[in-house]
Amino acid sequence: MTITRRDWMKFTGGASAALASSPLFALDEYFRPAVSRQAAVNTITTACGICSPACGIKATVQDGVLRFVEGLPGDFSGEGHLCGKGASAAGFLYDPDRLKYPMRRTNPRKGFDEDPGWVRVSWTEALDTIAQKIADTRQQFGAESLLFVTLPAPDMWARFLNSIGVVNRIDHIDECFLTDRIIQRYTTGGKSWSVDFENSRYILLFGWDILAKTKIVHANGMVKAKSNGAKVVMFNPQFSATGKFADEWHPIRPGSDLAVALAMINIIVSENLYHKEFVDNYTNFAEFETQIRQHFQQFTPEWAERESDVPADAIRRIAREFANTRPAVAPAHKKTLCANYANASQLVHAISILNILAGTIDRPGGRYFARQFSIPGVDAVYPPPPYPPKQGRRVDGKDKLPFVLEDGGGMFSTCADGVLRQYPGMIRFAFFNAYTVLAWPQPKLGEEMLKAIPFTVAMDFLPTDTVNMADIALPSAIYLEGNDVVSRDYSAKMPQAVARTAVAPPIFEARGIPFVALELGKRLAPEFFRTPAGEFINLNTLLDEKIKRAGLGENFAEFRAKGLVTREQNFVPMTRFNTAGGGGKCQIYVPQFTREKGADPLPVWKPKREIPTADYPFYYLTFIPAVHKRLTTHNNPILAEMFGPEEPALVPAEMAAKLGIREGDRIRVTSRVGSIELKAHLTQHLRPDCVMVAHGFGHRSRLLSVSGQKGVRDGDVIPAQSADELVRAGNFAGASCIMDAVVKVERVS
Amino acid sequence: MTIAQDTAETRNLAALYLLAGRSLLTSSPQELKAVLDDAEEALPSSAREPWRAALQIGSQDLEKEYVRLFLSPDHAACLPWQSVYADPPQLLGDAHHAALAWYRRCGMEPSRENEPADHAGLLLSFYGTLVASGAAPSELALFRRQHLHWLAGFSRKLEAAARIPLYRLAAELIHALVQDPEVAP
Repeated sequence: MTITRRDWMKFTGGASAALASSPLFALDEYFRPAVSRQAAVNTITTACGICSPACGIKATVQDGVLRFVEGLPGDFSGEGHLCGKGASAAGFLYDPDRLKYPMRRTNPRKGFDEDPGWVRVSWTEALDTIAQKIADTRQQFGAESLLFVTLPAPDMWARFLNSIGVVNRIDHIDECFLTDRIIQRYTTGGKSWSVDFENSRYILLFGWDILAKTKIVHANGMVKAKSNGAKVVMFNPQFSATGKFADEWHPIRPGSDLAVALAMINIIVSENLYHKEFVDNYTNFAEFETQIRQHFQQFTPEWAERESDVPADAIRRIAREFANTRPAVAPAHKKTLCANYANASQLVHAISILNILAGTIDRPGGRYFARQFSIPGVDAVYPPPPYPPKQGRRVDGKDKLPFVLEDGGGMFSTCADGVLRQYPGMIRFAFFNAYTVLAWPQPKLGEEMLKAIPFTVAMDFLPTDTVNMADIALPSAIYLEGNDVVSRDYSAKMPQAVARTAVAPPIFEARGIPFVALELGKRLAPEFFRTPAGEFINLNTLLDEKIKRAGLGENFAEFRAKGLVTREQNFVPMTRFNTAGGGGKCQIYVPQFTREKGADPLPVWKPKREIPTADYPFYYLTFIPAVHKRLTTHNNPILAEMFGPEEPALVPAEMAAKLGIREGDRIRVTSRVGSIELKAHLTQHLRPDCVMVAHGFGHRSRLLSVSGQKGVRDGDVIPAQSADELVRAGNFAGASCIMDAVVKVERVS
Repeated sequence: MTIAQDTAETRNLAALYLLAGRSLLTSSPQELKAVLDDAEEALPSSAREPWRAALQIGSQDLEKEYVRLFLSPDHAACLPWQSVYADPPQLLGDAHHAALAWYRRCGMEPSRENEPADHAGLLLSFYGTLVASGAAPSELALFRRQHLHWLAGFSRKLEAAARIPLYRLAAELIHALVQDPEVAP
């Protein structure tokens, strides 16, 4: 190399007066003197952010650019491994389609065939505009006119929402674990992500295809369980990955798991097979024994067979095995049908009772509560003034469902109905963070909703369908671009925390949502964003304080140097359970589940929302391919290559033969609300009355170069619902019924 | 090392690369006009007026087209980063590191530290400065081979996707610079 810095400077503002004054060579805005001439390489401990176990990562970084990731030894979640999604981290971080700058829409027409006419704006301009819009809208139309489609996290964001009195916040939880969270609060004391698979001797799975979900902590647990001699029994209409792994698989009729669970409880109670020591000491069985025994008598295995197609003898045998093989567990988790059917509230209650009867709540081999470091939130570090009351109508109708209202979660499945039909014109401003309407049942309604709302902000890392329709788009940093602390809540028999360390600064002008919370807060409710000393909260100082108070280090830098902190302690089973109103005991009979609140103190039989008819004779099921996380990973070219940009429908060979469908034919799947067309892939691994379609495909945004406008949206045939429908169905914990559609299937000529 | 003679020929060649580079780096008509004033002599006389006319455009209109083409493209029409054309396509790939190494050997690095170093505008600007600095032909050839070859395809994409004359002119210029042996040293 013969050119030196001196030479360079000659042409970029240095020695040559003639050239230095030349605009051509005035490159100061684009080049500067190098800080280092060496390519710095280092290793950083951090945590994955694609799914909730947040597996530990060892990241190799060169010059602030992620080059390689591997699992973190000693980590409870990943056990030193990463799944395909975690290992494809660079594909997310360096996706060419990433949103790079805040942008403002200049084209007022909204639609996927419309060019938004984006222009870049500064963060200051974007935040000023958003804050002004919120203030004006709230003043003119009240707090109920603001819709926030976001999680109530992180803590700074929650503080912001509380500080401006947001009434209408919705999230995806009704499509996930809302039902489980509500029911477990009253039956066992709370939602838990931890199951002690490896010490279990009998694992009963209602629908949860654990091995295909690629949560390493769960998959490894299942493998260890089998190695230790556990029996695995699976109820699922599909002969799934976990079905193949199980000792016993039953192709249950969709939506009838509840019948099997109720009949099992009947057998276990009537034959007194339950774990007497646990049930006598830690549950309210004795108090409500008469009601419990009487109630479950009606659910005979023969009745359950008629509802579920699972043989009565098998139900009876499995119930006895489950009760007699100790410890046993029926994992309750978000994918244990919690969100899928209108009878999910009853099903999750029944599964919870099975675990209580097995005596394995917070016991070895059962479902337990994670032992965690207590990480204080911002409100603990800097206590806020009293938040304003939340006043106004709930657009998703959750005020009609007392337990959902109490929980605080929102509902995707009813939001569009609320905006468009129940309360037209009420919502004047929407802020989406990391969510897109593609995730909703009947996403077309979501599109209509976006067109109907006068002003929308979308913050995301990719130009999703919702970003495409937004008035302001904000580029979001992702998990590899920020510092945080992750306290293990999966498989944590002792506290463990991992430092989520930024492997690189946010690319271009991307920022994290805490930054947005703080900046909007300063503009709209500054009194909530000051420290006791009167200064505005500093996010780095806040993190340091959290680390210090949690006992993980003097500050984040010290914690980061450790990477992973584990506090060794013995697992001491709980003797008092934190059940709501349960007096420290697990509740089989839940007195708080009153009829007046649309619930039942003991689970009753309810059919799924829709059953096959002459017009729509088949069940419609969806699944998430193992290589993907909901709909957020489909633009990753590595993952797209593994599964393909489009997905075929899984069609049982028997159904296909009757309908004249051959492998690779295009088929049309139609429900009462819409239809999709896609290729057929014939399978023997699915009940002959079901058809399955993968979720997460069919992004409409033309701005997504890998996943945009490819494949179909599974949600186009899934009916959205109104809050009144949930009430009528007794769906008191708000399940979104995403597996409840029935369809017809035909070959497209 | 000998500083190259500041000959008109060398300067003109450098000016073309710098003009091409700057047209991809900024959406400010004012900045581009100033650059064009400085580079006009280097352009063939037939190209001067079209460039002048192309820059008679409002700031927002130019910004909209800049964003549409380079930052939020419809199916990635012409992303301006070299690593995006690797397999798998990504930002900040090997080409970024290689470009950064070139810059650093000259004691420089990109001012915007969270952005890729293999932006077409940076690469063209850097090369223009190498030319002006009198880099050895072997070095220039090596840089072209490592970092400018992909611009032929890029310029064709840009030409096809552009909705305003400025970017069609920029595409023509880039294509000429990276394809034409008479122009490229």
